Amino acid sequence: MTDAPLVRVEGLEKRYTTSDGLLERLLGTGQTVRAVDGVDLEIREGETVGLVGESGCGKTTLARLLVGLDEPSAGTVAHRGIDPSERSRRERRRLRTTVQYVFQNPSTSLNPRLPVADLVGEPLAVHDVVPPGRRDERIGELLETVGLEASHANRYPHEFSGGQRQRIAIARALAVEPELLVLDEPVSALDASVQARVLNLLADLQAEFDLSYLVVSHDLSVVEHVADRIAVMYLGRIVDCGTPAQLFDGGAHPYTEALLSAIPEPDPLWEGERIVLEGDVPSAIDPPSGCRFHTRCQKLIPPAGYDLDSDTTRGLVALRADLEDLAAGEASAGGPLEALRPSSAERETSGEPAETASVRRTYDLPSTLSDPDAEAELSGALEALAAGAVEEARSRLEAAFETPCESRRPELRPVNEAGSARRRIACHRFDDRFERRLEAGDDNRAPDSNERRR
Amino acid sequence: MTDREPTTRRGRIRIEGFDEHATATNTDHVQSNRSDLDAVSDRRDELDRRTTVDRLPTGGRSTRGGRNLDSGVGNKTGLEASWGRFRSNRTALFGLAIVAALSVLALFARPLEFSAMGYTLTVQPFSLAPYDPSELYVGPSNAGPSLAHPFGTDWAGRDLFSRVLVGGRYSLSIGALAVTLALCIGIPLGAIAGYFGGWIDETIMRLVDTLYAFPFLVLAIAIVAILGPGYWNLIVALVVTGWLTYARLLRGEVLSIVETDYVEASKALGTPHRTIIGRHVVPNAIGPVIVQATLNVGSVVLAAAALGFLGLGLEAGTAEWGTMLARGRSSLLQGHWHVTVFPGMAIFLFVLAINLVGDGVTDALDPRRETGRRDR
Ligand code: SF4
Repeated sequence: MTDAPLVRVEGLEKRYTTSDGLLERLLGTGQTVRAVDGVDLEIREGETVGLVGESGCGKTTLARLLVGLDEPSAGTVAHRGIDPSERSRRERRRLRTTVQYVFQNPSTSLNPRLPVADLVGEPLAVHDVVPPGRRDERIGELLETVGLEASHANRYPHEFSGGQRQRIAIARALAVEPELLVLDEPVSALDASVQARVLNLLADLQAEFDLSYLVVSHDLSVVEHVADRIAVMYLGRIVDCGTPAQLFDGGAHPYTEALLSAIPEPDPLWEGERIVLEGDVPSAIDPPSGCRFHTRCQKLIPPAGYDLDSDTTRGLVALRADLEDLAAGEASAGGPLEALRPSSAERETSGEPAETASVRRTYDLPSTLSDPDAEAELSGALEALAAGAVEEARSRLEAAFETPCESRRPELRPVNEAGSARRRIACHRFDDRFERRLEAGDDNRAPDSNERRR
Repeated sequence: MTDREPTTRRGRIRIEGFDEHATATNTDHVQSNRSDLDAVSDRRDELDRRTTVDRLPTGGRSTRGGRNLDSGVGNKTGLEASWGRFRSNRTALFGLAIVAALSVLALFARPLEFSAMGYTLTVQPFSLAPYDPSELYVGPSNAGPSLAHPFGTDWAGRDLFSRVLVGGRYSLSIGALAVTLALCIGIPLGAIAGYFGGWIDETIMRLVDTLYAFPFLVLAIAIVAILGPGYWNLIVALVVTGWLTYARLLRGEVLSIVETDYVEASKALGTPHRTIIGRHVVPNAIGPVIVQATLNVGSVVLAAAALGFLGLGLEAGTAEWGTMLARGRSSLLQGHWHVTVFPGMAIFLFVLAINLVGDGVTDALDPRRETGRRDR
């Protein structure tokens, strides 16, 4: 083992611009999507790393960057300490063979018009792995390695079952003798009955050729069984990283906890709580400020200076975010904001208190907050709202209840747990310095205000 | 960290099967120590595999695979199926028969000879046409159809039957050559534009758009007017106007093929763009272009005839169908109908036949159409 890991990713970013027309491109009016936004990751020899996240979190983009299918906007992907972008074209191509990609759906990743021999032979010919005379022999060997027969070589992909096709795709990737296989949802397109066998094959191959795997999946339960280490991604950033045992043993990032709670447990005595994440993943065009998970987080850190629980904080943050949309004129009718504009009839009969009460109900806020100072601020803001001053209500709430989750970006930093040097979480809850600052009653306004939205 | 409730811990109940001892065994039999679930999945996959093997004729081991990256082998199954569909299409076969008959007649109309450096090589000695098409006064001028001259004679007393037969050589070869050459330009440019995109695409497609802005015939007329009449000049004019359709059509297809996983997979393998285009992109995108090209043979022949009729095709007096029509115009006014009818019939017959074949190819390359028709 060398010191340098097989693949080291540093500060990797990928931005897309959503301009399609010539005019938009000329005017530069396209919006920027930050698909991958500052990712650090290491993959060592013989290691299986799981990359987990909801769809749209950038995990596939990250995988494609690793293989070289896309060029990063910033950051580096180094192979054994060598950054390919500094190398010549020819050497880049050679380095490329060390990382191979296996696609999710084998029925679309194999050209239907070519026989298996041509499909598996393509990488052999392109990279001249074996001399032309021995190529047929090697194709047969590769097919046998993945559990097919050499005589299958002259058949076409449509003559095979899904599991067999995925084996062909794996044989293709193995042809160039890679060191790392990036497996993008390798079994999710397959029948449940075949999934286990393909996973077993992958385990066999790993043992035989000392391969490293990066398993990309939306399903934590698949990755849990195969990975030595799991990285959880949310909106272009890795938020949690550790061994499966560390992740499952509690003390994980709130997002990881939510993903974990969604895995069914066959134990009838298991009483784990099912955390339901609300809403979709926010848009990567305009990601939330501070911690990107704060719009859906169940464990928001309460604003400094008040004695509030996480649920109340959530309600306050959600209310403020909706007010912001309302002020910007983006609010959709029929949403939670309906509570903010009760019918005029209702206003006449019950007056203002009923209105503020309905807002409280919508955002799960108690009729009186436990902390008297906080209650004073909230009712002040709600009164302003009832009077129609949306902007004033918003700024009052923002000034009073600023949580660090919203204003500061949490770094992915090691968590000091016994015997877990490589456990890293990006959450303020795990930041000792930050916790101490909170306890000391410091002003928790963000020093890096450029992280703030708008 | 917080283990207040032992029951919130996961993993008290485990399902075995993903473990080393199970995976280390060979794929061929079911291990007794695996759980039922896994055994079932094993058997099913095994069954799967066996049925596939049984279903297929066990041909010899592959000997040709992977030898030559650029060889066109591989689309056998697709082509075979398409040919099967084409064969069962009677109208298409009828059209193909007419095209074949016309080609044979044109080829054997007069002997084919090549003269070079004093030697004369006779490639084809047969002569179906009774007279030399350019020989003057083999009969009276403007005589109607008779036994000696089945199609009659023209104003210079040349035998029309011979002229129509030999004229097929010009029309058919112009059709075939112009379309083939146009494909040779249109396919690479369309594939490159669609595959690479960006400014390459922009440049090629703006050129196509510019040329498209002229009506097809007007552009062809302008080119012939610049180059002057003549067989090859006519072909140049038809190629310059003809490749646009293919380039545009292929680019559209390529745009969707480039998105597919198998193209991405090849890129991930590090395959050079040239090979990806030739092996994965074009073969999968070419179908509609082939259809269009088949149909276009007819319209190219028509265009050649139209140019000939306008006096812009081959030199006056050449036995080309369109040119014959042009010369026959004055005779028609004098009441000699046969001078125009027979060349016109020849054009009509050929274009009709080509269109029948083209429709057949369309159906053959697109299995969905056939089923759609059956459902109706
Ligand atoms: S930083 Fe705050 S919002 Fe982000 S995960 Fe941690 S507690 Fe939740």
